[in-house]
Amino acid sequence: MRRFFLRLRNALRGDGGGHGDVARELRAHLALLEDEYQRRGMTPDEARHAARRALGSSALAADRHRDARSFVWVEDLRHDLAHAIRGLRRSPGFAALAVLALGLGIGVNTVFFTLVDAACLRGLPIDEPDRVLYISLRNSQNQPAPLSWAEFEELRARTTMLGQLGAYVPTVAALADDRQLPARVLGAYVPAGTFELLGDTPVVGRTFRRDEDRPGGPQVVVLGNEIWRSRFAGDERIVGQSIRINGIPTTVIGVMPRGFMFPANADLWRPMANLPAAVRETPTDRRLAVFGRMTAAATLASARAELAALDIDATQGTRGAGPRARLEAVPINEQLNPSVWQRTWLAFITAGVLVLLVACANVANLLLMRAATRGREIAIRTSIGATRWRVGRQLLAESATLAALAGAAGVLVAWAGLHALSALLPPDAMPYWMAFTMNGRVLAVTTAVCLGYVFVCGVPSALHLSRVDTLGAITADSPASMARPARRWIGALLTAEFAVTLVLVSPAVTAVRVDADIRRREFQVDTAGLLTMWVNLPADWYPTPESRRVFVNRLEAPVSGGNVEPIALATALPFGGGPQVPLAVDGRREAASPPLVSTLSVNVHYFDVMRVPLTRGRAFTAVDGNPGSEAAIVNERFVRMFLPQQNPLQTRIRVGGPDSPWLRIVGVATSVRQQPVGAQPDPVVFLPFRAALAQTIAIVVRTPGAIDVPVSLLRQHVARINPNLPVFRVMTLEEAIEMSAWNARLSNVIVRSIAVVALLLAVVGLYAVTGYTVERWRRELGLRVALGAGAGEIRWLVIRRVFAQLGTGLSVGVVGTQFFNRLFSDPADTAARAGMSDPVMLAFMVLSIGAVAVLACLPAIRRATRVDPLVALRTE
Amino acid sequence: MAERVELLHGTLDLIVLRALATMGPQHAYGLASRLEQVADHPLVLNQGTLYPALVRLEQKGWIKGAWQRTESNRDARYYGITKSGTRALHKQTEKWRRLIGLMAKLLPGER
Repeated sequence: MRRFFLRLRNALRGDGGGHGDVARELRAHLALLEDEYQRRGMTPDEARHAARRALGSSALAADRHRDARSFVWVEDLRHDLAHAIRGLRRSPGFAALAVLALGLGIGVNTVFFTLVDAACLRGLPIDEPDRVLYISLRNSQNQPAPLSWAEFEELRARTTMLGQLGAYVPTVAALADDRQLPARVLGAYVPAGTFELLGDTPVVGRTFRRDEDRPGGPQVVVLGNEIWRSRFAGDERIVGQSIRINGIPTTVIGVMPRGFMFPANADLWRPMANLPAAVRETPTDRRLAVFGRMTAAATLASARAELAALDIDATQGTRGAGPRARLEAVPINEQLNPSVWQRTWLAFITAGVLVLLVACANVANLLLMRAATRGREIAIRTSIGATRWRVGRQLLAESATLAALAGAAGVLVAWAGLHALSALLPPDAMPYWMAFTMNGRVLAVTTAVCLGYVFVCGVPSALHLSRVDTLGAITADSPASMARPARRWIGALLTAEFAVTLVLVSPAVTAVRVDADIRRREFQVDTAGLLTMWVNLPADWYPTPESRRVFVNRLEAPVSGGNVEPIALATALPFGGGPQVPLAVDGRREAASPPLVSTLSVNVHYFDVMRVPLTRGRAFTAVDGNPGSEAAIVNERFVRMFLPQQNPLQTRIRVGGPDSPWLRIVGVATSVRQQPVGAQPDPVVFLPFRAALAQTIAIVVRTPGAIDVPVSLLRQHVARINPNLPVFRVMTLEEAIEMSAWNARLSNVIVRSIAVVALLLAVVGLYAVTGYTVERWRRELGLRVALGAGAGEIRWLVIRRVFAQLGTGLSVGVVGTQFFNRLFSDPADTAARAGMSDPVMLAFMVLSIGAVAVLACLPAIRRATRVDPLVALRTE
Repeated sequence: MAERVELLHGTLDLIVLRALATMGPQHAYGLASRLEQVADHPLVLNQGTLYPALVRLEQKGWIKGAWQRTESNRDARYYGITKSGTRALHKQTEKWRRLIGLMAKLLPGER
């Protein structure tokens, strides 16, 4: 053991030779031997030689001595690495290009893997998630549905395989106290025992007791760490105090630890029994997401069998609802995380790997080229006794050093990229456990990628080089003779690179085009001065349509203290979504799968405030929506899609199920997109606001000047109606549209950065390869110039050779694009599909990549035309 | 090369320990001369081979080296056996004896 440490120390200290000591000892030994031989009668010279013979090679002795003193391989590794670093420092251009290219590739790949890991692989941060099952009801079509309160209670009473049962119903609560403005807080109703099931304990106070989670129980709440810190300054005395949740005085009983935001960014939790009575008592109101932890004895199979046998369908008998629903269970992470096998994620992974391949191809090219110019150096080293292994090892060390530097650069790139991507996400867009952060697994994959690079790119080039033909390389006067296969490799790699680049660039160009197209055609709102804000009327506070009507009446009343009227109300903003429901047209046979249309409710001032012109008919009036005058307004796209041949104003439509009333179309509005940017056409039906009074209401006003005054006026206006009701998402319509498009924007940013990186890599590759090729043609070019070739001919010669490879690459790329398109684009996304196979589009991309390629080889071409025949030929 | 390196691993260490135990502190040259006298086959012991063994033994703490002057006023590193070296020598010798006994039984009549 002691010896091990001594050797290790010697190895690391780089004193493995123990050069001073060993040399001294060997000298002493020789001196003694010489003395001896002289005593035996030899001349001093003879004695010296004889002594050396007797001792053997002093270098070998020192070497063996070194062997014994330290671990040779550690020391060799140190030497090789030092050598590699020296070598890279000698050619900083090469090193910078290689690290840049590989670092970008690794960085992009790391970003993608982080996204996939965050969204699909990481899962909920709870104890033993595999033993927690998510339970859903499956109807005869096997469609999953949540459970109703009654079904949950019955399941809890009867299951034996699930030791603990939890559930959640997401909610949005209005939190108020006497200190600050009321706040809108995401939260959840959970039954007692849920926290224990998940394995989390409060940092202050406690969670719900069983006796608190019963109808009519005390009003209590557990707070999340975020709200506790931001609103209550992390004060532990908050426990036991009373705050108002949806206007109801409620006692804070505990605070959960940082990072606990189950189920999705919740910041407060209320007992399940606090659900509005109407929800609890309606057996068809299924909204409890239920999960349970298996007992130690249970297995997934046995738990599933038990659940399938339990008959808890509470709607049984009511409505004569066909075959009864049965219970199905899956591990909770499978339910709450998207599968990695979905199209989107696979496309992500593929794109990441492609970028990485391009980067590797690039660096492999760079290495091969550098190697070609080092043939002579290696040949000389081989001839003075370096073994092939030794030479190969040094080349490998170089690859490894590059990989390590590039890996570090890649992690930096990924870190910056992930920060940028996270900044694009609106708050609460993703569940809390899907934060875009690198973890151990991501870093492990990145390390594996670096190692993989060393094996895939470093080993072949090391093998190839270490086989250099010593004699040929030394005698040939050209800067090393590179074997034909190597040259062919470089060409093939470059070709492949361009093919992949085209595949990666095309989705970006298509996306930009489709995006611009949609904006041109379906974004016709004059956003100047439009201010938006939201209020939410909690169900337990405003349980009936009548109570909401009172609120809306007062909301639409004149605002005192300023001139902000008219006030538009809507259930959704442009580009802000809205439920998509089935459509039926009066007088037509109903299709088996009716088309879906976006719906939203708007009040009488909506079109006026938005300045969306009505091309036919009229806007809503105060009577529209009352029984007997059910009405709707549709947009032009709707008319084009469903009523191209008839007068829409004489048509009745029905949206929603067969129970919904028939609506008379009273107006046709200019098309404004309701769903976020995507390629699907978006027919929209507007409904009168009072016909179905919503809980969540967008308030829109147009103000000529700064927004601060109208914002505070409207806040006061709402506070006068209900002082405990928060006003939230206060922003201009421009900002709201920007935010609602985050999804599309995120994917656009990703797709575009891939394209930029791929193009950048291709440029680096081409620049390096042409530069090197010209270098190798120096003699030939010199000869041509000497024989009378002009600059133009030389230029043409280089371009022709480059474009031979480019042409092949791009042709392969065009085919590849179509494949990629087929494989990964959404079949419904027809515009994007068409875009990617649009010949004009492809020609445009091919030409632009070609142009970029010419730019990349300009420096090389310039150098080629400046070859001085005298200099070039003299090196012969 | 392989032949010269070692007849049996550990033999050289034992021989060196033994020599130092009987002769007292020696420098490498002295040891080498001594071993040449003892060994049947002097070529086995290229004098350079001695050094790795000395380093090994010193790292194990079985011998200890110190720079001194020889009678002929030359600089030389003298190695002496340590207490733990003596113990190791006894143990190793015992082991070798047993091994030799065993080998003798296993390979009767073959010289």
